[in-house]
Amino acid sequence: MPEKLIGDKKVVFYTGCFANYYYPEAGQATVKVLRKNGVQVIVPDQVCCGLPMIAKGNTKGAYKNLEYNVKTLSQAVADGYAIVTTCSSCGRMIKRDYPLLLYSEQASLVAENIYHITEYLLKLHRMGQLDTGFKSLPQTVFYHTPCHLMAQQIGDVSVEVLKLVPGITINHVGRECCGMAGAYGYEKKNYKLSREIADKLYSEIEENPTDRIVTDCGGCKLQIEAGTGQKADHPIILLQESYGI
Amino acid sequence: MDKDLPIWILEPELTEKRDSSARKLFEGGQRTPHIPETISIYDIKRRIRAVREYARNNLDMFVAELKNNLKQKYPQVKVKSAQDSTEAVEYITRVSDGLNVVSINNSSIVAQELRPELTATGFTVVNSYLNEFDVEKRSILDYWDLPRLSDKNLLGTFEVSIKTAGLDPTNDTKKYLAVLGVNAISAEDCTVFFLEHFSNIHNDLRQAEKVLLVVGLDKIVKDRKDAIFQTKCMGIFGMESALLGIGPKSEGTLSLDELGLLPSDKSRELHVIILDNGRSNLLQVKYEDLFLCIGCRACNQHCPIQHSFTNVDYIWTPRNFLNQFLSGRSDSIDVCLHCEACRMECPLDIDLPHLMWQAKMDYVNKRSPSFYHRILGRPELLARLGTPLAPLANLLMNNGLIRSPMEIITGIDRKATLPKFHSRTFKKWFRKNA
Repeated sequence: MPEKLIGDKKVVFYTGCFANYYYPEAGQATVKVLRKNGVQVIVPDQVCCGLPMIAKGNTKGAYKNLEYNVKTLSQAVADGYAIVTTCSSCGRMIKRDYPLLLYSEQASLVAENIYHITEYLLKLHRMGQLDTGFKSLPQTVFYHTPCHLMAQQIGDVSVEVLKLVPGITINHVGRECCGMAGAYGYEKKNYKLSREIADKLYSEIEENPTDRIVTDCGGCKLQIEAGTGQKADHPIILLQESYGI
Repeated sequence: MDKDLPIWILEPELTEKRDSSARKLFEGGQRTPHIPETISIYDIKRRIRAVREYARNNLDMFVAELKNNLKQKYPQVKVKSAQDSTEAVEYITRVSDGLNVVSINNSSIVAQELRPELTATGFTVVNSYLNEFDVEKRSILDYWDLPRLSDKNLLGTFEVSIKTAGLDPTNDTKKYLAVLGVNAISAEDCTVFFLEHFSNIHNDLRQAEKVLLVVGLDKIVKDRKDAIFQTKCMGIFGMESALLGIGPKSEGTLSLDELGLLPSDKSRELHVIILDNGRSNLLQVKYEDLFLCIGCRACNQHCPIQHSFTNVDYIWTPRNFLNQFLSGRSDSIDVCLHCEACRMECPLDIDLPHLMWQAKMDYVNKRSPSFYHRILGRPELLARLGTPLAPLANLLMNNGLIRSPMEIITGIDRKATLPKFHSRTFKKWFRKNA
């Protein structure tokens, strides 16, 4: 059933907090890229995935959110929509932890039908349904893999999709943890440790200078930007640019 | 005459190197006598999971079988069942008979669980494993240049190299105790297995006047075949993280050689301590997977925070960190970044990140989260508050006069660069562009 939903080109976009409140450009680019590919996009009511809430001990609040999201998203899946998200942490949470925390069929249904945006686009491509009319984007890219995308064990989906764009050269694929982990890196008690962890990533970026730094995670993006002074973009932004939309 | 308790030691072997040379010769047309069959790492993982689940699900039976077999077959070995570390250390103190130097190996059960109380009791404790390294500073930030895990001849990487039985009545016995955590023991025939990278265990078995083998409940398996496999797996999967725990000797600690131990002319003694120390508590459904752990420390390999734990008085691994928390020896689980690197490395597929959360949720059910976390645990509320005032909120977030009191109230470091609020959220945009 999951593959069939992809072929149907109907998507419910789970934005997560980051794309909604702090990085609306990524949300807008997602809708534009999906529409460019003839995908119908809906954005029903949704709340925080609950990951940062559990991490800080707000268990009751998190469970409320989990149940709210599962109700909305499972209904969308039942109506024939695949779920897509741009946030690797929300994606990991919904894929892995929702079934473990809720033990419900609806949670499993949601988990089985949620895709990282580039995972979804890559699947479309493999089905011959991705618009590959990309304009050339002659740029070198440093791609930073977020831990939570690695944890989904779906391969280098964003790198694979970026490779479809003519002109883009992926000079380096980094896998060092950025040390941010949501609000972890902001906390006074963790700030120093968080930056120490990020130092490896900063050195990696310094040793591999490129035109663009790309990553899928909001936390990684903020940590990279804070430590290097360089802008980091979500891969969907590059796809939007390449489509010229 | 009583038979001696068999003790087997596994060490790294050169098989892999030999086999790769053999393969090259073979590819070049040379006849070679032996090319081993390639064993998939997934097969090894499946097998070790089955061994551990079988041991866990039949624990009571195997413990009884082991005790009975030790009593019947090796009556000269003194066996003690200890409920916790205090009882174990009391037993060690009782049988020490005036000896005050204890040599331990680097297994968590002794280096982490017994060492603090041994030291507090007044023993001079020497980790002989660490003394095998002449390290002046903690500079190992990457892993051994050994074969990485892949579908190679992994099972040949560690082989049994030393088979001993009981303790030799050697001439160079010295006045000290060796307290050694074993890697596995067969309930069926009581064979003890150690994994040894160098020669510390072998030396202790040869020289210590009294040897106390410490058997965690999780080290008891069905038979010799399972025990050897569990020990091999510990070697294979822990290979790359072995050196991460190596650091300079703490100031004031001496090696056994430097302590100038006197020769002993007393007859040697072999003891077995079967230690629970919270292990049977792990059999409750929520945390039962932790009982499957073989202690290989693979979970440490890519843990981003491992290097910041060089000064803790236990061997840092994510698994040990959780263990410390569950056993009440530590009061925080919050340092974990929840990156999931440990889960992906674990050969037993133990879902450590989820278990960390489980522990966290159990904790906050009993005791409220900190004031800071009660604020940070409502991220969407914070975003909703900041959004309508976006330009002003962003200006204030960058103001030093605001950030100092904000640090005191929220625990957010004043130096941290915070994300910028947008007055036009994505959802607002989408409603106009639906």
